[in-house]
Amino acid sequence: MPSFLSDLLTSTQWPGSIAIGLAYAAVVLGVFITFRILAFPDLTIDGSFPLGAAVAAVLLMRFGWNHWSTLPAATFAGAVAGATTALLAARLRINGLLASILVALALNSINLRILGQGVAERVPTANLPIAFNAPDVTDIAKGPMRSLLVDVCLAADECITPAVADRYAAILVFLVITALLVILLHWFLNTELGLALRATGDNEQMVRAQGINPTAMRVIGLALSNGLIALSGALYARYQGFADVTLGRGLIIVGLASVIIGEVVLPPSVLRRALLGAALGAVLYRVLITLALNTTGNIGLQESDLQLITAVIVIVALAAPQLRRYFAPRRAT
Amino acid sequence: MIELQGIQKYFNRGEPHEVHALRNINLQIAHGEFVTVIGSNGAGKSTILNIIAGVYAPDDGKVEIDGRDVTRLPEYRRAAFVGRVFQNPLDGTAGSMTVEQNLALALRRGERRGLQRGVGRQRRNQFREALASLGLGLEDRLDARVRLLSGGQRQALTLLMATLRRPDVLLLDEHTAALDPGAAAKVAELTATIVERDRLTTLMVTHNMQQALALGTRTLMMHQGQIILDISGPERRNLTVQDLIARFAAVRKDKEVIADDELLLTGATSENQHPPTT
Ligand SMILES: Nc1ncnc2c1ncn2[C@@H]1O[C@H](COP(=O)(O)OP(=O)(O)O)[C@@H](O)[C@H]1O
Ligand SMILES: [Mg+2]
Repeated sequence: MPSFLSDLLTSTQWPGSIAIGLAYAAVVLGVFITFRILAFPDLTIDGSFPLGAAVAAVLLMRFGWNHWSTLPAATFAGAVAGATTALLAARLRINGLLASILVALALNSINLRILGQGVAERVPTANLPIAFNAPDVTDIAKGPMRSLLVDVCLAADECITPAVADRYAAILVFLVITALLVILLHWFLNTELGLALRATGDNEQMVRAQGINPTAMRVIGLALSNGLIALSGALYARYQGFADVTLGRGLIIVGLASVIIGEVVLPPSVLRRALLGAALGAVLYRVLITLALNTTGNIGLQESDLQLITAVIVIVALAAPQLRRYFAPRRAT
Repeated sequence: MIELQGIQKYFNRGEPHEVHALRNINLQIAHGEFVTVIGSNGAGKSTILNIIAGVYAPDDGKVEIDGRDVTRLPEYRRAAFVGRVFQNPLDGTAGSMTVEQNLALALRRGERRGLQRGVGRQRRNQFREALASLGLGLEDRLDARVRLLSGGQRQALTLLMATLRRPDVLLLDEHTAALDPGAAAKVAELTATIVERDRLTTLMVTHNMQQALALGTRTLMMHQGQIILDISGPERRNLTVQDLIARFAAVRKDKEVIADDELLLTGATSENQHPPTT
């Protein structure tokens, strides 16, 4: 086996970043719904992602919930947050962006409260981080994956450690969850309600003329989006065994970068491709970041430069149409 | 049947650039009547349509559609009774969505939308048939995005969407004005066919006097927020465009006397400026 391939298989880093990317896939689907379908710049994500993480963590640790049933609970909490943003914007006529920032700000306090429930004795730090060693949804695939990969590897004289096998188990579980979400979203967005939602982001005048209440559509859309984002928060926190209130910081940019990468790799001619592209973009973004950190170590970048790198990726992607126009060969007139 | 009673509409009320867009409009349109509306720019033609559609609430007065008082009903709920085509061909359709998806949205105008599939086989057949009746070849482009269509095709599609579920009233606001002559003629022809076929109560604004007399059963002329001419029946049948212009000039002269007084009071000189009202 070529050495880079075996490195790829046996390193913890690559399967690790793919697993995290897939855990973030629901975030990217959520961002796709608000930014691309509804054209509503929603920053609720800053609070709804850690909300999902906190709700799942606390229900699990403090209240002993079954680890699967914490996921719908987290999703519901995020949906309520998203609906709140949409209602604030519509009923009080607050600018949508501002409404979402306000909700995210309020969620910060709420998340601290929730996280405060999580542990009996806690260190009173500002972020109230909680670490937990509890059942994780990816556990379900760990056993089979370990026996499969470790055994095969021993036979092939390569060595995949149980820790690496666990990352493949996570990839498998997150992949199944992501596939289910994509299928569900694709179904929903082609129902009568889903079509009305899509039209709302396209032409509000037409939507009203066809008897659709655009406010209701935005409430549904933002609830759906932030529900997905909170679900992702729950998956992420549980997989990492960690939650605090800063998990959502800057995440909107990660989401946007992933959406854009997805669009470049899989130009969205139809909805199916757009959704698959968003999910793929989530993974590719992680892979790109890992790649950047690996290679740029040589040129003096470090882990803390991650956000700078992300910002540059998004700026370049956003500027791409202008750049392309600028460099395009001028047509003779 | 549409009834407007004592409709007053101001824009920017109480501000220096206040506009009295509709001045005590009283209008009854009977079932199946096809009314064409003409008048100079800013006369209030679009505003009257928007008051009926619920885009704006009137400052005073009452709007009834088929005996229902809809004055306070929001636009999206009134859409159950109202079909609309706008001047701008981009306004009536969702460009990023396909022809069949747009039609699916229109099929449920005014009804609850649930988790049924938007476009199924049966509906697709229904849409194909309806599109074929337009004679534009759109029946073969069900899954084309609407933004790829020409202005005329888009406007014909909007007309179809407005009438796919029979509306109690069809509102057309200069819906051929932005099209090239060929497309405009085609859309006007489709309009006449559909209105006649479904016996739709229709209000059509047009800038084309010829068209205003050729189509429909009744013609309104508006000027400075008022209906200054309302012709139907035999009187209308023999009317030429020249007659219409002459009558417009005559009525306008009368009105101008009032307007001039107001202009003197404010010192305004431009004819286009709207005199403030007391
Ligand atoms: N949304 C609005 N805000 C302020 N003024 C408006 C608005 N809509 C129309 N008006 C004014 O009301 C008057 C009537 O406009 P409109 O009904 O659009 O005329 P038209 O007969 O050309 O369709 C015009 O003076 C116009 O400037
Ligand atoms: Mg107008």
